Amino acid sequence: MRWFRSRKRPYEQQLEDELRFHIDQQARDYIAAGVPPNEANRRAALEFGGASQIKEECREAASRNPIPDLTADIRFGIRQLRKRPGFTSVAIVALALGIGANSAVFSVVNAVLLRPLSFPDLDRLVEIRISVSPTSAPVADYLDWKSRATSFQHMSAYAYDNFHLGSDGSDPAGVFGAQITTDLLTTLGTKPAHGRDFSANEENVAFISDTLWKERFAADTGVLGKSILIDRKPHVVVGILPPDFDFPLPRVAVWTPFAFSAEERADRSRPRVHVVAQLKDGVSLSAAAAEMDLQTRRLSSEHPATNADRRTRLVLFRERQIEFSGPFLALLQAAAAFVLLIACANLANLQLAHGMARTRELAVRAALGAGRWRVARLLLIESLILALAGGIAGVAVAYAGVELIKAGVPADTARSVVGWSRVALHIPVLAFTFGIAVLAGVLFGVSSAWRAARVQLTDSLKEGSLQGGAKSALRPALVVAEVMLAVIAVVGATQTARGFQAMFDIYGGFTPEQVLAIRLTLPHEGYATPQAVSAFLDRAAAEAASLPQVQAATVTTNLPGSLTFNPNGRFELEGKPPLRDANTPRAEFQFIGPDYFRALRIHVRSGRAFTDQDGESAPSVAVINQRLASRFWPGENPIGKRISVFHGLQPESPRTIIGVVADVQQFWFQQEPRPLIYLPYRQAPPRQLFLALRTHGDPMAVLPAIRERIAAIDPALPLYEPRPMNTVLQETMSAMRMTTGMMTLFGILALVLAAFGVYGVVAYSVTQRRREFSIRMALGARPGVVLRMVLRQALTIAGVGCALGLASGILVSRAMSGIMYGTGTQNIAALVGAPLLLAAISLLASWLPARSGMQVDPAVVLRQE
Amino acid sequence: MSNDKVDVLQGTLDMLILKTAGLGPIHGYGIAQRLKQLSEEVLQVKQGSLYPALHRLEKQGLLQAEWQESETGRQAKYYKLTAAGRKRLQGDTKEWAALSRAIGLVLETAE
Repeated sequence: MRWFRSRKRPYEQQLEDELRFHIDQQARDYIAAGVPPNEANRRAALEFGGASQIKEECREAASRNPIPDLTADIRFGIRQLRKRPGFTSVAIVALALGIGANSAVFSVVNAVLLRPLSFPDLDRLVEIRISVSPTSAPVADYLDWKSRATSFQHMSAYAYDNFHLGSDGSDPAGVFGAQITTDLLTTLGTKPAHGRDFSANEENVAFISDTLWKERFAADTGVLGKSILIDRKPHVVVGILPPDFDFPLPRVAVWTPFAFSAEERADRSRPRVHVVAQLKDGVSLSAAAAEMDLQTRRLSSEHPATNADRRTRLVLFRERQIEFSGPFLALLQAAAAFVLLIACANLANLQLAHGMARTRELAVRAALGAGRWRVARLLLIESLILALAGGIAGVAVAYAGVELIKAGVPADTARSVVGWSRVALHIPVLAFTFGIAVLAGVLFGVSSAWRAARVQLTDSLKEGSLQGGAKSALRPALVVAEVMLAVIAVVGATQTARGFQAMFDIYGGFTPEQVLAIRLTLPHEGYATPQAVSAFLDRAAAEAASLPQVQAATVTTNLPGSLTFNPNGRFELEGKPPLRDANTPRAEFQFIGPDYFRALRIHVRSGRAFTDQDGESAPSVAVINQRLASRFWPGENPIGKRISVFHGLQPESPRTIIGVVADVQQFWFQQEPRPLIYLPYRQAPPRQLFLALRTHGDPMAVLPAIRERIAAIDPALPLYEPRPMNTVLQETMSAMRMTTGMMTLFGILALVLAAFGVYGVVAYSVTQRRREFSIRMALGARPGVVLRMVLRQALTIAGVGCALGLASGILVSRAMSGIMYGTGTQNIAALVGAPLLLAAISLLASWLPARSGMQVDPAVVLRQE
Repeated sequence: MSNDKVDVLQGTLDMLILKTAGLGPIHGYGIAQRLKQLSEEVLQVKQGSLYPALHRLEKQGLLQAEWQESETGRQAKYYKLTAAGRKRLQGDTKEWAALSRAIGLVLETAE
């Protein structure tokens, strides 16, 4: 007890008491020996001497830490860094760029790939997909899975839908929507932010999204319990979903419960619903997949006519969109990591150079008793200070970078990416940033600290300025690595640019200028039969075409780059044995009006396009794209051949191929155009479609006239997203454009940093060799010789780096050709160009130090010795 | 200062303090007294060296200090040897023995 209390007394008081005790004790002993008290006290005090000096020395002894004082070291480090403002600012800027780029990209990776949805048990949520596309399931299959499978806690279904939203006389609006089973929120483990969940078997109720609530209902909870018109039928709004609900896609604004008809409940052929499920606790993904396999086999034997060969595949929610954005984000993250690595190598280099320049100072410190560890620690602390400063500046760069990325993606594209709304610098990202900063600090600090610890005292003192320290292979090696990484980064950037160009060329399969695209959705009310839909479409196209500003008008289920999926399905080739499994012929289907190819100016390579005569009662026909033609009829003329496309899961009667048209890319992230079969819409009239018009002059100028004409047919029908095709395309390609832009930026950064590295190592070696150069020149060597020596060193480094970069560049471009369409495996231009560029830049970077080496005045230098 | 008294050198002082404290917890005055007695009044430790040395050794973790009641009933700061201190003392003692033997040898030969 006493001890603890006494420990808490201030040091000063303890010191005072301790010394006082000594003097008093001494005096006591004198008194005991017979000295009179006064005399004893006087003598003891005198003998003790200057108490204040002793105290001072004690204080100092007690404060000198066996582990030397950290704050003092930090202060020392900051002083050292401030002595070299050039080095310090370059280091901080380089690090900030490296760290900033990494964190910005990681912000996107985190929001889109790692944490795309905010549901609590994300790792237990799976999608159950039919193993061949279309991956959605017939309702009867879903109902059987739900009642039979035991691996899942909950199972639900959803389907995308487009809704008309009308409320009390205001303008109707088209919104993206989803039909869901009433237990979907339970399966996802979430609930509405306001209001209540659906109850079982409820109908004519709806959830609305946070965005819709704010935009259309002024964020007033009064909307709960109110009735709104969805597809012209009243629905009661019972819940407002959380802002980051984002399921199944961020653009979905309205959710209504399914009302499966008896017919649907028995249907095993039409792909209808997407199935999601929550794994039971303790059930692994593979166990659940195995059970689903068993369940589907059971259904196969029970319903051989429809379910033969039907299997399922389980996909974790987290991985839902990896196939779209994963490779691109991985690419960007890798490029950003390269930039950071180069920045670190650069700093390690600068620190090493600096450490060597300070060899004598360090040796003197060591001689004066500072241990090697202590000296190394000083350097390490310096590096860490730099890294932290770079990290803090990097946060600013990252913040700006994230804003830039967000600004680079149009709202429409963003609404198709789950998690995009949550792309922001946040705590995990900040932690990541600082993690990198500290790692960087340790990385380049360790190399210089290691070097300092190896300094041989006597050697460096003896050598003094004569030779300036041993040559280290580490520094050139670091620069070689930098050059190598830069070559790879440049190859990566050019590969991406090539892919981007290739995509443009593919999109160039049609002419987007002067085309107006309008999205339409026909509600079930009023358009109950295919005939009614067809009648509307015919009339709408005819009305549009009759406008004087319109050259051609058509309806289509899809437009290139519109981020709408074509249905994808099987077909059979007449006269050829049916192919099975992986070889099953598959294609995307697109339903179009007669003037589609004329309106988009897609080249008809052979045969003919559809005409008005290809109606519902006419012989069934199809137009295919070149990709499909060359895949299934290589070297043959496909015109006149007959195919049976599957309607849902059953083949329909055969159709005759009447034409072949040019390939058009549908999605920027697809590796190549897919086989595509165009079908006349009249033979299966779609409810969700685009009206596409080729106009004279500005496409948007036609809009008022078009509105009027459509309103004349159906005044309640909203036109949504009327936009020029060019805008649609630009938005679609924005992600790819941004990827290309960022890859280019990273490539340039890598180049600049690597050039800086070459400059650093050459400049340093010139300073080190000034004496040697002076002697050479004093002995008659011409300046050109010195110049050549310096440049040779730079070229050696650049050459080795480029050779290594080239080798890895080939691997990188090969890997990238697997990710991106049009990049090719052998990007000769990049593989030759990048090393040449690097070599040129290295030469340029070493020119300055080389010249200064050449201009050495032997008299001055030698006198300095 | 009388001629027959020798000032203790800085390096050896630490060793002597550790040795003294190794015999049991002891305060600063006690150490000075005991050193004088043990060296038969030859070694003289100045307070100006003793206390800074004690505080340094404490900071280094070779000694541990504790306030205790002294034999006179007053609170005094007692120092005792830590495990690290004991190890250091063993090392120092060995080194010292080697050194003094070596010096002795040289001096004898030189005579």
